[in-house]
Amino acid sequence: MSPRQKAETVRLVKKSKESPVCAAIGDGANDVSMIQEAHVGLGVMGKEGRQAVRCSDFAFARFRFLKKVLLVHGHWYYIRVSTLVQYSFYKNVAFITPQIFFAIWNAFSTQSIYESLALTMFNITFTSLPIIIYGLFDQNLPPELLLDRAELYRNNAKNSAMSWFNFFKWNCFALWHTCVMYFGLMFVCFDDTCGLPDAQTPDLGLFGTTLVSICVFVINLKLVLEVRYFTQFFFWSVIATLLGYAVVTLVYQGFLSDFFSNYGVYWSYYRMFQSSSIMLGSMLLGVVCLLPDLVVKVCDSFTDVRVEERRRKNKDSPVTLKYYISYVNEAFYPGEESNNWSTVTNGPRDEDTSLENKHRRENGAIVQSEAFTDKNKSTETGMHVGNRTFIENETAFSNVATSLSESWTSESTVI
Amino acid sequence: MPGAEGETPLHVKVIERKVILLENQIQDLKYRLISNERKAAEEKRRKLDSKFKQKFKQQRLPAWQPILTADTVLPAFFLIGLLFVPLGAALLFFSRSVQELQLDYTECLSINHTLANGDARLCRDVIKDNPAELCICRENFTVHESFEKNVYLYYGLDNFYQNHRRYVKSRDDKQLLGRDDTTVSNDCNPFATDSEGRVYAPCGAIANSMFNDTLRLFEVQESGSTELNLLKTGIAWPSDRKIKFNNPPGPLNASGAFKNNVKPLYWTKNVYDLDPDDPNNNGYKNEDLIVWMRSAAFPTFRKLYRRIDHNMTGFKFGLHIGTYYLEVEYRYPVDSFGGKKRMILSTTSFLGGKNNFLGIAYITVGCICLLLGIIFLIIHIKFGKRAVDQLNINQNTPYSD
Repeated sequence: MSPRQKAETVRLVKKSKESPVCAAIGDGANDVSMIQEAHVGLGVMGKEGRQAVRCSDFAFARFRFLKKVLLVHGHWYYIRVSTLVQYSFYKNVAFITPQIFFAIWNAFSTQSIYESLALTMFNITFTSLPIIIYGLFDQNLPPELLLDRAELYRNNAKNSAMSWFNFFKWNCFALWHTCVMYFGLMFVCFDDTCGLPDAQTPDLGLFGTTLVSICVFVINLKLVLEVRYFTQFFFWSVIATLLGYAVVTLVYQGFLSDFFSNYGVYWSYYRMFQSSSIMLGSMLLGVVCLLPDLVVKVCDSFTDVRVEERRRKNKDSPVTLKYYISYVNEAFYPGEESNNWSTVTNGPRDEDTSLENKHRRENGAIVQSEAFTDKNKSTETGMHVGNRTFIENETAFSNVATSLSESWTSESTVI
Repeated sequence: MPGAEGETPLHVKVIERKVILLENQIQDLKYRLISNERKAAEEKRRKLDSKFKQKFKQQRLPAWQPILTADTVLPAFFLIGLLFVPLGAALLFFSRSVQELQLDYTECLSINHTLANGDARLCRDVIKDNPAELCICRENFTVHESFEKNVYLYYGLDNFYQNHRRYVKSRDDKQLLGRDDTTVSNDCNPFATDSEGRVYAPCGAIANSMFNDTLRLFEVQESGSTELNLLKTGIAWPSDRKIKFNNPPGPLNASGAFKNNVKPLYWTKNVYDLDPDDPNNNGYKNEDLIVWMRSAAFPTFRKLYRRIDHNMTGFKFGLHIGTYYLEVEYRYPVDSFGGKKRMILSTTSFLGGKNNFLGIAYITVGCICLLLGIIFLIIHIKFGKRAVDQLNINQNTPYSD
């Protein structure tokens, strides 16, 4: 096909009824226009040179890498980017909304509750490193699981991680954190009763500094709750950020400077540590902020794929015989409810009320039934099942063994 | 040997062929050498690419992958609940042990001004008519429960926006540091210089509106009333007192340190007259001024005014039960903005003033955590192993062993 024909094919698919997102993959120079036409162009570095690679969005060395690129890396990158965007909005909402609340108490005079260093350095210095590390290294689900269960890729369809609902959820958390931090601190310091040593009274700078401290901690700890893949990098980035915040504030508020004009908050951070009610209050407010996040995370885990996988692999809860039988029954005779193992061995449900069979049934053993007249077919099936004897536990094993030996010595004929 | 014209002799052909063979062998060896070199270079590079770098590039760094399920989070909830409830109880106990007495004296009656019909006038009306008039008023109060040691006297203001933007920036910290008394920053406007161009000391709206009521406490006894000793130092932040506020060089009078300055607009005395008895508490280092210059965060605030001197006879262990009265030299006008003034006598705990919020909040959060823990425990027990998981069979389901 000529390049133009390839591009027109892609355009045809793009303009089809559902307007799907199209990816095109190619490795030669004649694939260039197709790659550029598609939403996502993938280039393979191959024998035909680097033409396709140069104009593509993503390039890799072998065609067989496509599966991993799509299912593993694509999935990871999507989750990383969407969480990064949601988190960035969240942290700014959580930091700035107290200014709106404070306006009610400062006669709407636009007095900032935070002093200028906090406002300048908050976004870049105090909260940016952990989310960058998250965006580089976090792995939502293990790669083996993603490669194995391709249907998990469908969870990301239609930009679901950045839907209005998800955005609303993040902003609700932001609002909750804001309200708890601001109003909690306001009530702790109501009428200047948050104690400093020697019964001295606090001021605006102390209140603002405390609020910034609580903000920085809560916002970073919220990210710690979101992370699923704790590398060393991430751990140390959180530690570095929190310690860095403390050091920067200690240094900034430790000396008077004309250049920085920090007279208003001089020594406030040191004083904050001397007030036990503020320290205890900060701890409480941090816990209260993150409690709903924790509860929501636990609720999410009920439908988490990894939990399912873990249970499946867990040897404590093997697939039991009973359920296997009923599953097979469903497969062969759908619609008939059958927990009864004998229907598998005997075919369609019979009024099989002979005592012997009943006894054997209750022992959970597989037995070649003696009600074996013209149901040869079913016994064959029964044999099949019988060959793969499913043993539930020790007692069942012995039951099977005894009943099998019984059946061989009984009058039932076995093919 | 038959020698035809263009025909090369046999031995020459053999030699030629050998030469070609040898040349091919040389080429071969050359290629092999080049490829070996290339391979060696790659090996070297691969060895330099340490294991860590490979893991880094292949996104296989070792990591901890926690899953927050109900059973892993359960102990945390119970732990928090069991920690917070007793802590909250303890904090509540401490905050309830703080004793506080508040007395609103905005509308107290003057003792030396009367209306036409003989009733006492409100001091606030007196100073509204004549701001320079000295109005003294008294408010009685009784102490029902003796206050334990270290009792503090605060004044509280309501509806006074010390956190207004133009108010907060209306100060000159350099002037208060004791440097540069000839010019002041523009932030102080319109309270920077007077009409003749002389600089206010201290400049700005914060200093200008300094609280200038004088509060005194008296105890009523059978033999009369005795004044309580109140300490006026040790009320400001140590960092302020030592570093942020300093007097300019020179003696503290009109011809010394403050020769270029004039008193602020609303003040009745000069800054060097704030406490003439104690030179360490005079001028910019006056602790009442320092306390006032710390802008409060909210419109309802209190500021430390005095400390009860417990070296007085009878007050060694605190403020005992009895009848007292507060005598106010009422100068500070709060009527125009609907403000209120109050006196607060309070002890402190390690948590601070009388504020039960922290204790109650801790208990509440602890109880909620315990409740959540119990709910998750029930969920975990009832729905821990779902039947769905056991039915999740496909061709990859292993046969259990």
